[in-house]
Amino acid sequence: MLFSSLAFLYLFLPLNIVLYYLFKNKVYRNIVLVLFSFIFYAWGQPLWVTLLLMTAVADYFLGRLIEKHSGTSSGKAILFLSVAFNIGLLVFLKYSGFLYENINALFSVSLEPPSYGLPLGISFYTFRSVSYLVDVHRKDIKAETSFLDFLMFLSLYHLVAGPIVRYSEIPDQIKQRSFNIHHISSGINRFCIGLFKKVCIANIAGDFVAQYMGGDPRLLTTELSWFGLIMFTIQIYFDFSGYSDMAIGLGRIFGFNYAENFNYPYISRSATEFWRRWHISLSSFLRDYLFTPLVLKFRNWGKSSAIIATLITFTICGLWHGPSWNYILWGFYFGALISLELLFLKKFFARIPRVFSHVYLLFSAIMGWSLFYFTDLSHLWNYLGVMFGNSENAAFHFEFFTVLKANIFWLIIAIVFCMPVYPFVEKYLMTHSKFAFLQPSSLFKTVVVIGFNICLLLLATSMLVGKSYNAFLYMKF
Amino acid sequence: MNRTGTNKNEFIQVVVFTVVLVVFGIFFFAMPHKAISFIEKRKLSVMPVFSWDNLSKGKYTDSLDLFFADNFPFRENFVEFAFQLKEARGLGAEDFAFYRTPTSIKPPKCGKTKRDTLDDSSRVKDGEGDIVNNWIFICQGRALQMFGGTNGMALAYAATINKYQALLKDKVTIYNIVVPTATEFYLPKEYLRSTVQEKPNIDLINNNLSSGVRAVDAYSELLAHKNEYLYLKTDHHWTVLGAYYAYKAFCRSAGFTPLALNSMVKKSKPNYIGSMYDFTHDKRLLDSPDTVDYYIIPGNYKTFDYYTANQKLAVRSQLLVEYGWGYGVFLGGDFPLIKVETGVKNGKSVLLVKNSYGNPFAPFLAAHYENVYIVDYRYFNLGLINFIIDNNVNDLIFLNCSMLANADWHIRCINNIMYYRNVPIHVPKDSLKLKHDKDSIITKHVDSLK
Repeated sequence: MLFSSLAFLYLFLPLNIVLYYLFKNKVYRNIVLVLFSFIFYAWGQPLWVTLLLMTAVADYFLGRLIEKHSGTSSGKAILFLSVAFNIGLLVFLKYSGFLYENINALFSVSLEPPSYGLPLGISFYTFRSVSYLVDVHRKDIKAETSFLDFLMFLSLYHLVAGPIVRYSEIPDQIKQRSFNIHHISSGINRFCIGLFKKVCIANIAGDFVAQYMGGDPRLLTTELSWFGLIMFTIQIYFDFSGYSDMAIGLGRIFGFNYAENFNYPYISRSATEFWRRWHISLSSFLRDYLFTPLVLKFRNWGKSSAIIATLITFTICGLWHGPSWNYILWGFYFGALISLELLFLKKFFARIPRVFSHVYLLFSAIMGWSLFYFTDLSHLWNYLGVMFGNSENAAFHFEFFTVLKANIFWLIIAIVFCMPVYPFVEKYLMTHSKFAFLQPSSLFKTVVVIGFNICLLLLATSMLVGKSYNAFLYMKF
Repeated sequence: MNRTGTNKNEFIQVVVFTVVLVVFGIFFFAMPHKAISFIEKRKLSVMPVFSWDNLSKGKYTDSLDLFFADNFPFRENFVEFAFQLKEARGLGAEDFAFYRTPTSIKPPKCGKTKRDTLDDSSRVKDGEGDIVNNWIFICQGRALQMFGGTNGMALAYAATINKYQALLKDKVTIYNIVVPTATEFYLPKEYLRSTVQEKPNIDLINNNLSSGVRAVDAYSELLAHKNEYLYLKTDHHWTVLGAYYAYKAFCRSAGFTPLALNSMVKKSKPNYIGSMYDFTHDKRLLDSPDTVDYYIIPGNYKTFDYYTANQKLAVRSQLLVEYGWGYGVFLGGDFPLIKVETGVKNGKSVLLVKNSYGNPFAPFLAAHYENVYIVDYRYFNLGLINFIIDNNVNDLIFLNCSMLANADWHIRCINNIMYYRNVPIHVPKDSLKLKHDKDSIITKHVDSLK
């Protein structure tokens, strides 16, 4: 199930809200959330929820065991085994096909790769589990004593595709969530904005991506190939940040307060800054549980330790995104950029006008997305060939200007919302007395906010319903 | 206002939002669900049947999602609004627009056969199979489908016609008519680079036909009259006038004197909005509806539609079904086989192999032959070679538009009907005017004859 599906919006979510707030008892509310989370996970893959349940049971007991043996060598051993168990499951389910492919290619054999699908959200709940176990070991948190609460933390459907919320961030909210109408209201608002970003910007950009990056390469021209890649740049940001907005909004609706996951990454001036603004929960997870330990391990190597740790961390970060070489290359690419910045680029850009560093980052990010998109590297090579004029394809086609003109308002909205315009306008309106009628307590603002949210909801709904429109030249009765 | 006031306002926000979600959910269950979308020409998803097997494979929940989307409350209003939103995304050019067509423009998979008769000589290479072109260009209130034919496909089409000639030899005279689409004549010059020229492609087909096959030059005849109303603007078909000029070219090739236009009564069906609007929802098409003209062919005819092509289950019909909607007036839509017994007592029989493009052309043949057989190669399921021999057919005409003459699936269909195939009964699927239900088609025909 997707947050941006009609069944979720108009059946699952209202039912969840109503049933959740029917109960005042915290235990019942947690039970409702667990039940709905399991339905959510089971929607497309009912059998895989058993894996989620099994992981929860194992990690619940392992967490308690680690706490019990904390500070001892057996505690370390248990931690090692439990992390190996979680990461091993992830590797087995997500990467075994990739391993088979590479073994086949390397040794000229034809081993049959496993054909099971990937359990929904496994990359995210595995990292939640690992952070929990490590934090218990580090004594940053106490091991959860209530299995129900732990199960809820691990299975929360809001977090199915990020952010990677650590147990240490929300222990109080797991135990006790007070009813806060302001939270719920702001959660709804945030959810609607996320839905709009996903459906009305990312999905439209995705259609262009499918046409130009995924379409017939014979129809591609130079400027259309650039347009396609820029559309992917827009799509991936709005898709992911829209999903994070919806997750944060859903969290607030049900009393959780998750940290921000995106902070306008395309306004960055370096790859280092980009990763402080892009998928913040992942980069901070990798910083705390991989990069820092690696730096400490290589600390005797001086400046090289940071470079080696960066390259390893980002290569693994790339691999986490998918079982394919292009993701590994994508991760390494960013690791290399950050290393170069560490060595000299940062100093260089500090001396020249800011605009150059913005252009550098945007260009780097856009080129990076080409690595991210093409799982087949020969397709990537051909596509880059068209982009840079090294192909027999035409350089120009009237389609480009037609598309541009026909989507110009949408494109302006997409580009503007890549920048922190919304918080700026909100702050401006709230701090100027002439906009007093928009203060939170005013009835006018209530009407505006209701209208705004309902507009976003209905816009997204009509586009989702419009997607189901599928006309045929030939009768399909 | 104090904090209580703020809470009250926020409470209202929360309640309104939740109520909207709940109300749509209730409407979904309370409102009647439609079975068919006539605009989209497809069945809407139905409530899936529960089974543990489907559930475990995720198929049940996927079907539930489709069911919910297809039956969402006020779906048609939302769809219309979505099209309006699409138009509002930018500055729509006043004079033109273009659309990438959805993949569903490809034909339905009804041509799968137990025995694929396409041999290596006429089989196209991988990657050349689909219609390359997937654009619809709107220009001066007219929809134009960009042509994407290839030499490989043209040669495959010619090889298919030649195969019939090789099998039938001098038993019949074979005519091949490939007509250009509107794009060839009406695409503005500045966009010509975006399409493949049809003339060289048609010439390639004709130049590669066996010496026993007569290539009919419909192209020149249509070109000479290109300023007339030859093609429907909102639909992917041509007009009866376009078909008439192709018929004139055929008569010249076959040695007939064509019917004069003024010898026939002309009738019209105005305000027809065709398939290209269904795809694009482009307002320019809505603002320039077509008029479907048709000519009453002089003489008396008995027309029979066959649903199984076995000549046992015949339904009386008409050459021109005047109650039909739009383009459906011609032959009443598409049927596996139509037989026309005319008052022309010359003992000659003709068989036309066509798709829906041939529908306005076929009625003219009734003026020159005693028996006219009209075969839709997409649905016919008897062996055509034996059928031709058994029914003493003298002339065999293949008529196609350039676009579908370059389409792998269509070439395969023409190949596949050479010999008998034991496949289930076909119900006409491409009728653009009749209801989908077989019984209702028959009932309607029978009623019309009372």
